[in-house]
Amino acid sequence: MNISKYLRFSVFVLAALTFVACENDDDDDDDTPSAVNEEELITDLRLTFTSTFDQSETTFIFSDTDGPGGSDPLIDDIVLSDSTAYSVSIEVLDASNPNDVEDITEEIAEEDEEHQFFFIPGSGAESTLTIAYDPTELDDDGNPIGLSSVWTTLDATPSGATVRVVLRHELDKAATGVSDGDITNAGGETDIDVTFNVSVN
Amino acid sequence: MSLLGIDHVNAQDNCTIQIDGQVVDAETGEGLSFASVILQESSQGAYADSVGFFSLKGICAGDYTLKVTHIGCAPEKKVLQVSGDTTIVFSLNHDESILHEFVVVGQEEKELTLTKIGVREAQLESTTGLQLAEQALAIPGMRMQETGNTIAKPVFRGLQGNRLLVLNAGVRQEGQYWGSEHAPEIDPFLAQQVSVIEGVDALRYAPDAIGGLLLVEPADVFGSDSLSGSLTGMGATNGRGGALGGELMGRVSERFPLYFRGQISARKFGDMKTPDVFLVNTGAEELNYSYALGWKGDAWKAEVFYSNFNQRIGIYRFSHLGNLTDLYEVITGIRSNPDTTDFSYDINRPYQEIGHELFKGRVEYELDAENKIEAIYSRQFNSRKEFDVHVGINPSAEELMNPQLDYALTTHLGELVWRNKVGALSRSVGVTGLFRENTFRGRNFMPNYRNSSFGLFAMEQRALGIWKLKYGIRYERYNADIFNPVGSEDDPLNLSFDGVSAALAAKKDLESGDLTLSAATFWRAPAVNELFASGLHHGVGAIEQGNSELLQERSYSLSATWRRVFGRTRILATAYTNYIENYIFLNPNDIELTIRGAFPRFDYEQTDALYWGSDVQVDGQLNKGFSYLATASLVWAQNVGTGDFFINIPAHQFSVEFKKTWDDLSRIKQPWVSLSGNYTTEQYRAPAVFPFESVFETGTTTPLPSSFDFAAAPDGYFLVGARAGMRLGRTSLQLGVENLLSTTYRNYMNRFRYYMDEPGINFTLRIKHNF
Repeated sequence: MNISKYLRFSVFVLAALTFVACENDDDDDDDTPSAVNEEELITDLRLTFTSTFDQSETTFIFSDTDGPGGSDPLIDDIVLSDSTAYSVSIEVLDASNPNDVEDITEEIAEEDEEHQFFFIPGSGAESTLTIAYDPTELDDDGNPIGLSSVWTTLDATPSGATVRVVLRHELDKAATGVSDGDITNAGGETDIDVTFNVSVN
Repeated sequence: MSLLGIDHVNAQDNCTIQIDGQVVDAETGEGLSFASVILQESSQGAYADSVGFFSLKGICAGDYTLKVTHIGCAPEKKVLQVSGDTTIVFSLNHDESILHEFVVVGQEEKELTLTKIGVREAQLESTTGLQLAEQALAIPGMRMQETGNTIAKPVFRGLQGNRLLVLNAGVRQEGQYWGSEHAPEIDPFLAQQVSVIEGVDALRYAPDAIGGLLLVEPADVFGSDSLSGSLTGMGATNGRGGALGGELMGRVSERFPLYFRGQISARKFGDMKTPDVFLVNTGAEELNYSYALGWKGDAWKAEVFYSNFNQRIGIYRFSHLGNLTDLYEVITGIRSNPDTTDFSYDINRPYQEIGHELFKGRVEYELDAENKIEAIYSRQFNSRKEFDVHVGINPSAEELMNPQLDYALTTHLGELVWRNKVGALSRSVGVTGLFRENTFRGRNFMPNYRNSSFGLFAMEQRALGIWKLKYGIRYERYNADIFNPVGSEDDPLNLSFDGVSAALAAKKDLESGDLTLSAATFWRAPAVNELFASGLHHGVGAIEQGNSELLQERSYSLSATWRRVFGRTRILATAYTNYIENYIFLNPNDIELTIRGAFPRFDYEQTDALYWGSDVQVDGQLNKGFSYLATASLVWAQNVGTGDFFINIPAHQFSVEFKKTWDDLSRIKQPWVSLSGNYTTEQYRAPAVFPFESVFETGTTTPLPSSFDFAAAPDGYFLVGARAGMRLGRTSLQLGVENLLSTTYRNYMNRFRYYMDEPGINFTLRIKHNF
C-alpha cells in the first residue's frame, strides 16, 4: 500500500464514523432507565347519599387504589332506608398516590356531552328501587349526565340485590332510550363499571 | 446461458454424429436434472439424467439451433455448427420470473448452510409494497399473526414472537417482540432475499432460536462493479395507496475498491375496505432509508451499514373497548361497529409510531487460504410509541400529544468469528456479546431493565460417507437487572440464566434429490414482560400478570426435509416436531374486578408443549409453458400438561396456482398469467369460548374453563386470486387481483377477528425498472 491508499482508507474510515452519530443518541445515555410516569387513573368512585327526609349524608365507596391487577378492590355495601328519596352525587377520584389525590369529577363535568352514568338495579332491586337522573343537571344538548341523581326506595330489597353503576364516554346519547337511562343502545367505551350490593331496610 | 466449450473431436459424414453434454446451474455448477435438450431443425431430442448429462445420437452434420429447457430456467437457444462428435456444457441461469414463487433450498458453501429455505429477489417482486411478514409467506411453513391489517408478524411452524428470531443484514433485530401487535421493524424493500434457517445453522446467531430464524438479506454491497440500480413502484386499489422504492449501488471508481449502496422507500395507505365497509383508521405510512459502504482490500473486506425505519400505523378504531361487556356486545352483534362508507387517509388514535435504527460495522480478514476472521459490531435503537384512544378524562393539550405506552430499547451487539475450511471440512468458532437497555414510560405495564448476554459457539461441517454432517454447540449466559417498579435504581433485582444449545444436521444426496435430517435443542430465558408485566392490555380487554418464578424454556426439535425431482415434477416435503419444556404462555386463570368492570386475568405460566406438522410443495410443468405450484401447510399444537389447545395456532392451509407462460412476443418478454386458489380450514383445535353470560350473571364466582378464547374460531374460507406479468426491456410489470370474489371472511390468525372482516377485492399493479 502506498501513502495515497492509506489516505483514501482513512477518508473512508472517517466517513464510516459519521454514520455512528445516530439521531437518537440523546436517548442512549448512561443513566439508569428512568422511573415510570403513571398516567391518570380512575381508582375511586364515591356515591354520597343525602336523604330528603332528614338531610343525613352517607357515602359509599368503590376503591381500587393500585389499579387493575394487584390487590382486590374495596367495595362498600349500599345500605338505605325504606320509602325514602335520596339525592345522590358522584365523585370520581384518582387516589393512586395517597399524597396527591386527584378529583376527576370536574373533568367529567367539563366534557359532559361525552359522558353519561347509567344506574342498573339488579337481582331484586328492580322492583324496590327506582333511580332517575337529576332533571336539573343537563349537558349543552339537553341530555343527562348522571353526576347527580335521585334514588327512591320503595320497599325492602331481597338479599343479594345489586346496583350497577356504569360510566361510558364517547357514547351516542341520542340513541333510543339512552337519555332515559337505558344503556342498551349507548355504545361508546366503558370508563367505570361497578356493581354494589344494596340493601334497603 | 452461455456455451462454455465445444470440442470438435473428429469430422464424420452421414448422420452418425453424437453430441454429449451436461446442463449445469450457472450459480452452483451443479448438474441440472432432467433438462430437455432439443435440436429444433431435426426435432431430435433427449432428457438429461439426474445429474444433467445428456446424449444426442445419430445427428447429421449441419447448422442447428439447440434448445435447452429446464424447470425454473428460461428456455435458451444456441446456434451450433455440427460437423463431428461434440461435447458441450450448458450453464443455465435460474430465471425466477417464469417460475412460480417456488422456494430454493440452497446449500450455500460460504454460509455452510444446510437447511435454508428462502424467497429470492425475483420472487419478492410479486409482493412489493407489502409488509415483511407477507413477503415471507412464500416460504413453506411460514404464516402470519395479524393485528388488524396494518400489523403482521411472521409465524413459522406455529411459533412466533420471542421464539422466532429475525436477522436483518446479519444482525439480530431487537424490538418489543413479545407483543403480538409488534411487527418486525424492517423495510421490506431492503430485502433481496428472505429465508428461514433452523437447527444447527441458527446456533451461530442465537441460543434461543426455538422456532427458527428469519433472515432478511439486503443486496451485497460488493455485488456490483458498475453503477446499477432499480426503481420500484406498487399501487393498490384497496386502501387506495402504494409504495415507491429506489436503490443505487456500485463501485466509486475503478482505481480504488470503494463500494456503495443507497436505498429509500416510502409507503402510504388509507382505510382498507371489507366487501361491505371501510375499516375506520386502518391507514399506514412509512418512510425508510439505508446506506452501506464497503472497502475490499487484498485479504480483507470492511463494510458499514446504516438503516432507518419510520412507521405510523392506524389501529382499527373499534378494536379498543372499555371492558368485557363492551367486548361481548361487539362479538355477539348486540352492538354493531359504526363503520362507514367514507374513505379516509387520516390516522387518529389509536395508533402506533415506530422507529428503528441500525448501525453495523463489519470487517472480514483472510489470514490465509484456509482461515478467515470476521468481526461485527452493531447498535440498534428501537422506539415504540402506542397512542390509545383512552387519554384520560378531559385531557390537557400535553396529554393529547403523549403516547400511553412508550418503549425505548437500545441494543449493542458484538461478534468475533473464526472460520477454517480445508476441503470438505469446515469449522467456525465465535464469541458474541449483547447489551440491551429498555426504558418504558407510560401506563403501568412493564418495568425498566438492562440485559447483558455472553455467548460462545463452535460448529463443524464434514463429509461422512454419503452424508454431509454439520453439528455445533453454543453456551450462553444471560443477565437481567430489573429496575422500577420491581427493583430500585440503586438496588435492581438481578436475575441470571445460562445454558447450552446444540444441534446436528445430516444431508444425504439421493438420486435426483436429497434428504436433510435435523435435531436441535435451544433454550430461552424468560423475557422481562413474562416475568413482570402487570396491567391491563387494551384492545383485548384482559389483565396480564407476569410471574417472577418462571424457569428457562427448552426445546427439542426434529425435522426431515426431502427433495425429489420426478420427471417434470418437483417435490419438497418437510415433517417436523418440536417439544418445548417449560413453555411459557398466558393462561386465563381468573376474573378480576376493577373499577372498569370485570376482566379476565391471564397469568404467565409454564407447561410442556408439543408442536408438530408438515409442509409440502409440489411444482411442475404440465405441458409447454403451463405449470403449477401446490402447497399444503399443516400444523398442530397441544398443551401436553393439560391436553388443552393453545390460542393463535394457524389452521391448516392448502393452495394451488396454475400459470401459463408464452414465448416472447417481439419486445414483450415472457408474458404470463396465473390463477390461484387458497383454502384455509377452520381451526378445530381452538380453546373453549369464554362464558360471558354466566360471568355477567354470577360475577367473579363463575368457574372458568382451563383455557378459553373470547369467540369461536371463524369458519374456513376459500380465496381466489389472479395475476399477470411480463417484461419490457429492463422493466417488469405485474398486475394482480386478490380476493377476486370479494369473499367475506374472518381470519383466525388476526387478533381483530372479534371485531372486523378481512379486506375485500384488491387490484394491484407492480412495476420494477432495473438500470
